[in-house]
Amino acid sequence: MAETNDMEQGLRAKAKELLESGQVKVVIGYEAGSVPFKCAPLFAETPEEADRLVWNPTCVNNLAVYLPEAVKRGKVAVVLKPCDAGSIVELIKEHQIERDDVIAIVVGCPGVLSLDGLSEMDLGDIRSIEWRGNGIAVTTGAGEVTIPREKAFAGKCLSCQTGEPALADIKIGESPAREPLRDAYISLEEYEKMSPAERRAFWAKQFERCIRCYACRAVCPACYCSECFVDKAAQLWVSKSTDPTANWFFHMARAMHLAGRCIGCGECERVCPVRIQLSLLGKKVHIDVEDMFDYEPGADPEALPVLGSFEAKDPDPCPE
Amino acid sequence: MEAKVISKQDIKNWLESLAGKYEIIAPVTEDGVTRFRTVQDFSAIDLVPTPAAGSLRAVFTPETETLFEYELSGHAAEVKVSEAAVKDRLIFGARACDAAALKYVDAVYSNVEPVDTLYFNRRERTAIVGLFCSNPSWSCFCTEVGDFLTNPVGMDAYFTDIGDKLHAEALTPKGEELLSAPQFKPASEADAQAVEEVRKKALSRLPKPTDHAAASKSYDWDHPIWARLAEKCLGCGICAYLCPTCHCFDIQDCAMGSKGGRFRCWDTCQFEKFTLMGAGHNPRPSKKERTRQRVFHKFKYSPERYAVLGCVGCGRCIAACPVNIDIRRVLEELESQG
Amino acid sequence: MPDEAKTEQVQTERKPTDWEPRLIGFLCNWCSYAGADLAGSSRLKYPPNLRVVRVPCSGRITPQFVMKAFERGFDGVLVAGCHPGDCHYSKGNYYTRRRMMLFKRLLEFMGIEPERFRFDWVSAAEGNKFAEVVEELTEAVKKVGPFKGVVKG
Repeated sequence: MAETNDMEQGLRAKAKELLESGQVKVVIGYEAGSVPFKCAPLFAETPEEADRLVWNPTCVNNLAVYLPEAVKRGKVAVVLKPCDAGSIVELIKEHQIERDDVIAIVVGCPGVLSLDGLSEMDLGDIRSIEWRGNGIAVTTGAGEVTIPREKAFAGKCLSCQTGEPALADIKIGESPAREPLRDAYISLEEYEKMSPAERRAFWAKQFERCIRCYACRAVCPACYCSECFVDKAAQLWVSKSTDPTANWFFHMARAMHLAGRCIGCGECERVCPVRIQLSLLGKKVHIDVEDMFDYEPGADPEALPVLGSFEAKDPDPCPE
Repeated sequence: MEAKVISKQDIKNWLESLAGKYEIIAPVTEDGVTRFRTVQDFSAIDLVPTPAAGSLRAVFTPETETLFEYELSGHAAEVKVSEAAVKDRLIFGARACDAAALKYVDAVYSNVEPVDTLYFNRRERTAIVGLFCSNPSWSCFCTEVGDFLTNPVGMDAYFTDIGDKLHAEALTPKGEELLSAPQFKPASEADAQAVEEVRKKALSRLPKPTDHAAASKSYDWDHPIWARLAEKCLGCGICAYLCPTCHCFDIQDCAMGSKGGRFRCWDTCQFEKFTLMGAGHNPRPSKKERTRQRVFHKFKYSPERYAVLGCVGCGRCIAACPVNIDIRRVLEELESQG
Repeated sequence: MPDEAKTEQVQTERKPTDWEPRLIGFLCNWCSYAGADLAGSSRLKYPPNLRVVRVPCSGRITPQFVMKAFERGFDGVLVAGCHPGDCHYSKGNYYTRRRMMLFKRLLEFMGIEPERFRFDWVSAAEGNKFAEVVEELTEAVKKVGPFKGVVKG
């Protein structure tokens, strides 16, 4: 899509302008990774460095995770996919960054890669990946292959509504208007067919794999506590052992800590080395928060945090 | 002992014949994740992913391991010290990198007294049958850090997939014993030729050797790369948790009423609290110190201390890093300024 | 150390030959604990299965308390506070309400039978209600049986 190259050019130009004028100390974005099917975060401090910015289907990371630390340098610009912009809303709401500390550059997003999907296709020597039509075009040593979005994109992209981002100081390009291919909550529907015993067995299997590497926590923009509850040894909330019961405690407590704060970027699930279906937990809490309190995390910077506020008409254990 | 071959159809009954004597551990894929697991159903063995997501580390030092348990009664305490695996085990389908990593961890755990008996009890009672990587992953770089892919260490026998059969070489007396099973037949010239071709093809996709140990002597403590890595590194610890040479652990006590115990669990220098001292000082307070530590430990301190590189080029850290910190690029940059 | 050991610890202390549920209740000092006290001084009969932990306000109760109880092998958990509008600290129970109503759904989602967790309001004057709540919870938990662990089949 020639349009995509325009977005990358537009992004670089805007970043250079922000750095040259001294408006920001650093532009956090993506640059080419060590292999063509991955990108890496870039902290561009000069216009020359800003020239390395890219915007392509490999740009999966939610860069908002860097903000609480980065704004200590001064004003920061950050490149965000529309779905990631919600993270900034929550960070501002919780005073981890001030609104004026950040310039949110929201790029139009046709969808980003699922690396699993890509590796299953066994394409061999990949040279480059770009958006094409409704999916992607992959250039390999043997030529070019186009792949439709249902095979190429991450799960969350297939249920994306491509609405307006909650927050954007600068917009580069527009996300293409598209019908979602599937319901975001389809996995919940399937799961909820299970009986209590089946559910416990399901999680037993998931949590038996958890090695407590805490990558899910490290990659999450909402997990910014300087001392996480699992790191407390004096009041030991949860054993450091990888016993499935201890793992259960960690994930349950984390799910509640993220209640009404998780915007569903899916990074936790993407980085988990043992593929625990963390999005099930996130989606369940998300849908309940919406249902019970009519609250959408990441939507409104003026709204009060959902578990830090209340209303007289909240659901009650003994309704009158 | 001369080389042998075993038909792929015979693998199952060969393993079955061993199942009485050995607990068989092999790569198994569940929910898209391949890890080394005890198998009873040999048709579940999945030798395809190179390497498996999980290394052999958990086979020898489980993620959580009880050291001892106690029970109090009055002023007396009954203490039960843990013993390691009581059964003989056979790992089938180990990769050369993972087996070589074991030799490194052996050096670390035997370096001081008391020697880690839980680990070595398991090592002594575990036979390892390796499998040559015919299809290296994009992140593999074992040939850059050693030649064990073609000259394996740390294993008893080495198999190579040559189509409808596996070529098998014994490397130790234990390996010879394993390959004397009736399912193994002498390898022919054609078989040897097939192995050569498989090896050549795989090696053509892998990098040339680099003497990182020698280069590490002039690594720059103040290189600008550390600050840059620190910016993007999330401190998530995946690199260490998947790494076959990583071996650090935490020790925790737990007590409830009259019962309790002590266990150890995996830990990593990538966590902020790893070097946090009781009084509050932290010699590695930021990710700059911690990313540098990872590279220095593996490529500089290990060769200095153990005469062996602390990295086997399995590439798991490269594939799993959420922010694409690629150790190969880091080393290139460190070593480029001479 | 495997937390199974801790679960066993709780189970082995039981004496009765028929299984009796082991319940824990987190009661706020000003209302529900006082209500429980009133049930006692009124000599109301209710099952003895509940152990009580007194907190200053139901707002003190983090879901982690409830999770800890289930992790340790309790068969059922009660969280009780002042009725909305009556909180001794004005608003504490409003936060509890959102938190616990959400958490209740998550517990059920994870496969813990909904009968095992009861969240309710009990005022200082409601000795009878307290006795009823404990009675109902005990009966409900008896029906679903002993708790076998948070991630056991």
